[in-house]
Amino acid sequence: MNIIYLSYRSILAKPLSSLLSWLLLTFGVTIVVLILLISNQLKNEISKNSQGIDLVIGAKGSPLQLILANVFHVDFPTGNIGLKEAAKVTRSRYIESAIPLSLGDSYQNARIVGTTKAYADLYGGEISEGALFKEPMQVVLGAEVARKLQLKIGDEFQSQHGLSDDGDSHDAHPFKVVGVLTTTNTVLDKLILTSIQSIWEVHGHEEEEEHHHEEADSLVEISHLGISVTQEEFGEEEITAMLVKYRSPMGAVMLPRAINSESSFQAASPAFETARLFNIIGVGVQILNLLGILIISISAISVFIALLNSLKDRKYDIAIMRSMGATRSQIFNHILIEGLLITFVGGISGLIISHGLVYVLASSLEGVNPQAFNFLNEEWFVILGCFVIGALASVVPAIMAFKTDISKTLSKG
Amino acid sequence: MISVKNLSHTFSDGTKLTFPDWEVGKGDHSLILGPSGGGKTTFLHLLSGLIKSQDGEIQIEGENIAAMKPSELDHFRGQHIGFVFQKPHLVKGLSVYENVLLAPFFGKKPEHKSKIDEVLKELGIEAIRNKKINEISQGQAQRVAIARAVINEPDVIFGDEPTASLDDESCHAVVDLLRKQANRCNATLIIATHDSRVKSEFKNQLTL
Repeated sequence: MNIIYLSYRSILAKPLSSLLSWLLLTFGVTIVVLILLISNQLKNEISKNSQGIDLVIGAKGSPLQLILANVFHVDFPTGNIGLKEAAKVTRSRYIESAIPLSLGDSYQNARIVGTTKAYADLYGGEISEGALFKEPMQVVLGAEVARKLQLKIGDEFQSQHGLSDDGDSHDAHPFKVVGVLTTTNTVLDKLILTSIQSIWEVHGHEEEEEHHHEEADSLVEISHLGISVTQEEFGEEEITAMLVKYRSPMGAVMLPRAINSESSFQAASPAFETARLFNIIGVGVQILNLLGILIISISAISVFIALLNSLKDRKYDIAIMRSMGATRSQIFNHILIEGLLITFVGGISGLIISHGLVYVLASSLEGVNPQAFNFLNEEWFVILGCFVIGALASVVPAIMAFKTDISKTLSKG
Repeated sequence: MISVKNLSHTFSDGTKLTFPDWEVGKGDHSLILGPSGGGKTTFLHLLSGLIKSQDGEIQIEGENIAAMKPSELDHFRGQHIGFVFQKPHLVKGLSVYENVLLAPFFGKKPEHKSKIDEVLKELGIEAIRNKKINEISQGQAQRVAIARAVINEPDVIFGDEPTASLDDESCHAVVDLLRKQANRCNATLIIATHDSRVKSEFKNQLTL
């Protein structure tokens, strides 16, 4: 026998009111922790996926869309930009390096990205099997793509035009898997990488293909993009965007303005646009958080009322315990622990449910990789907060129990 | 051995009760009689340390409990005293066994499972050992209360109207059980009552 067991049995003795307090607290904690987990994971994902990218240059349109499409691969591209002008822009002295991206095709919802090795390097992706693409129509798979689509080296597949499942397939131009990348826990894992030329080849007209081979010897090297193209490609082809790294911090001041005003392209900063995105969703997050805290407070009130109500029935129990030698502080602890137990169990179940929900969401969220079993420091504060609330709700009933006049109570009964 | 000298109690509204000097030898079971409102319960609560006395002297087994601090009184009650009240007042969330277990727990005495089972058996309630309090009858509940009062083998068992809400048959049985149990653990039984059915059962009587 101990005081904690006594409190536990006393909770079970009034199942309905305990259930109500528990449910309210669980619900409130679930909301608060779920928001905490999701916004934290989202920030993590965003910073992981935009690391090393100072600026994205692409076709004019919504800057947020440009970022979402080219950095996080969730939205549709804003359009294409001419290779020739793009090459000119990269000659700016503020640019240290630029990675070309060519989007537009997919295979079973995995986006095919025409790019260079630099793109895989950006996320620390290394070849785990096979080799990097060398020839056109060779692809390297992100780790998750390889796993989910069950593709192996040597497999061939037809890509679909467009980024959704219902695009026309490019039957005449099958891709061949030549390599698989290591897991990086970034957006890279969900992509299929190939050379820029492959994308052009898929979309090029049949009759132009013959020219390729005739002019193959007169190559133009675009050193900042790390690609070499034929004269004809240089003049006619397009890419979707470039991921730019500044040479110096001055670039952040000068380059976006120069590009937005002097070229037909737009430049958008991932840091700025994601901050703007967080501002937009921030209001909703705050309202949900308030709601969660409100529900937790209601739960505290329900614990308070439940304990206060039960004191009326338990006056005799308490007096009897005192007559058997229980001290005032034992009685105080008995009531306090009862409140704490309910809030503790409610807090823990809220944590478990919210992590469970993140685990369920993990499979259905597009573009992010939530880690369901990462625990945050803030969660300790939530549990601590539950204890404080439990203590606040039960301290007044506990003091009243502490002050019970045993003789008066017993002589009435 | 209980002895009371010059004992009086003043209530918060100013009324003062004065109690006669009284001595009870070890094992001399006694009744405290008197009309309702005559101070029986107050006297009993003073004797058992449920209220701290302001004046006088109460010796129980050689200790003057009138001079004890409240925390010492708590400890003294747990160690030396058992109670039976008019209603059993069992804790509803616990089983019969756990209710009896509360006495050694709060009284800071060893919690022997076999001893509780033995007492439950003697009182004829071993079959309801694991039942919840709301599943047992009033008569059974009163027996559980007796088990709880005697489990610590106290020096004194106080009964405050323990028979008032019982029918004749149960009344007799409860008095009998109380006396038997008190004799078994060599305790002094002191019952405050205005129940005339009990009067004939005890020789030693104090009328207030």
